[in-house]
Amino acid sequence: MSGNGKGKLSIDRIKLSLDNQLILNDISFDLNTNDNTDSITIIGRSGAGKSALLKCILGIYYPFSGSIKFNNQPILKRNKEIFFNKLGMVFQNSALFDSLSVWENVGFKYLYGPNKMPKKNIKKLAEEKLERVGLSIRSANQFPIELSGGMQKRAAIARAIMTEPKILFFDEPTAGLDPITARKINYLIKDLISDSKASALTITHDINTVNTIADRVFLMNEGKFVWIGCRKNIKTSSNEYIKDFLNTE
Amino acid sequence: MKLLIYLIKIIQKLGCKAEYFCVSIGQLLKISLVSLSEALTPPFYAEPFLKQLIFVGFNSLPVVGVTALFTGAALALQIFSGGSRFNAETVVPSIVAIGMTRELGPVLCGLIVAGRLSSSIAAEIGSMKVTEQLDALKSLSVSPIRYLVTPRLASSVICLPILTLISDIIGILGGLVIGITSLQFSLLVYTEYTIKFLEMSDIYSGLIKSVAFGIIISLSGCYFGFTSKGGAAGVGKSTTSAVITASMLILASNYLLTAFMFQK
Ligand SMILES: Nc1ncnc2c1ncn2[C@@H]1O[C@H](COP(=O)(O)OP(=O)(O)O)[C@@H](O)[C@H]1O
Ligand SMILES: [Mg+2]
Repeated sequence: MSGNGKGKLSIDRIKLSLDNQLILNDISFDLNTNDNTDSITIIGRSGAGKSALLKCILGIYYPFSGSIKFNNQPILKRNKEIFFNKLGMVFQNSALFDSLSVWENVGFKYLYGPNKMPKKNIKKLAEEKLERVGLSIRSANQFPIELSGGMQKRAAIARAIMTEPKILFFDEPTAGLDPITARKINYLIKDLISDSKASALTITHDINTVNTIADRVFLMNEGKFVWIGCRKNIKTSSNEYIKDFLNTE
Repeated sequence: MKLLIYLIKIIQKLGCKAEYFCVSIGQLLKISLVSLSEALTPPFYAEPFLKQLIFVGFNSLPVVGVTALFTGAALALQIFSGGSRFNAETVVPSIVAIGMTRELGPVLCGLIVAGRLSSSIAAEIGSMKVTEQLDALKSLSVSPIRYLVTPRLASSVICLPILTLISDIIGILGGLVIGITSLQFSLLVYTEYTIKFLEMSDIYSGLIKSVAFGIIISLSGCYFGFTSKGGAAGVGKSTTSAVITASMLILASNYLLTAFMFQK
């Protein structure tokens, strides 16, 4: 798996515009997704284009130039299947399906996706995942609306790890949570990615998330990376944007 | 000079509108074609389909029934008073039956279900869109069209003709009740006249229309849901647009279908 370009998600000089506005301007980076696990966090102000970048990778927005490749190939057809089979994603506002119960949300990919299994097994597996993220089995039969924000986030994480993905995307996993819950979620994510040996791409504007889970940090401003470095170097950096970011926290 | 600039501006605006219109038609066609192709190929999602079937069919029954009952009754009174001007009161049963089956049954049914269903589809899909649930579907390798549009399309195409048939029957019964109680028909005569002059083609033509209405209702709901943006207010707007568009398209296509089917 670990040959050249194998097991790698490569974003190469992508530019995206939406409604005639340049949202992403020349973004490049690689995420290792082989045994050599990687944890990137992208930080930046709200509106910088962080979520838009994730949506480009998911194939929801289309950049007008540059390329996004997985295993050295565009994420299309068979390669798209392979990529999405290895991917788990947690959306900013959890994005749980409100017409389905919590366990059906967690097991959704097996219930309706390409890889089916008997319903009983799915429910059992979903309950295991719910326990793994710290939710009680009782919540399995509740509906998302009945859960608190932190519990919804946990359920969304359970849904993302249901298929034991090797690549995890988190879009602002601690946004809108109180500091204590946010801390717990940060540690949960840290444990999950080290337990499952998965690579993570996390978007955040929470410096605690960066300190807990990042290897490398990219700071985005107005659709460009304006600082790239290791987590350790953040505090000592003299970069204007970094100082600004640390100050506003 | 000012006039010229003004004219150019108007033309530009029209151009933008025309472009927007073409893009919308393109998107609508895409949604229709994809959902059709996905309706015919596995995997099929039974559970969402059954949920929709109950929601569309069963829950629409009371309001459809009440509407048909009163419309049939009013129709009988109107035709009686109109007919009495040239001593043709006996046409009441047959005109009520023909009017209900060809026109009022399908159209009223279509409009009522459009009000209930296009709006609820647009609201549901629209709020899924603005809360990223549609993106979540994609990230879980499930096609939003297969999971959301196809069950809605299939269930409304199945339910509309059934609801129309029911409203035909209830409408005719409404006329019959009025005919017997206040227009001096006997039960026997009224039913005889109804059956005698009603042809199968009257019923079929109404049912064919209702299939078209079913397609219009579900697709316009889905289309406005998928294209809604800008939070809760955006969802509200697309809900309204869905109902208005569906109603207009139902009335227009009703005319076209009528002209097409009876032009012989
Ligand atoms: N669907 C869209 N249409 C038009 N503009 C959009 C759309 N989605 C996002 N944007 C714009 O793109 C910019 C970046 O948004 P986003 O990626 O969500 O920022 P964030 O860094 O907070 O995640 C914002 O200015 C936003 O207004
Ligand atoms: Mg965002």
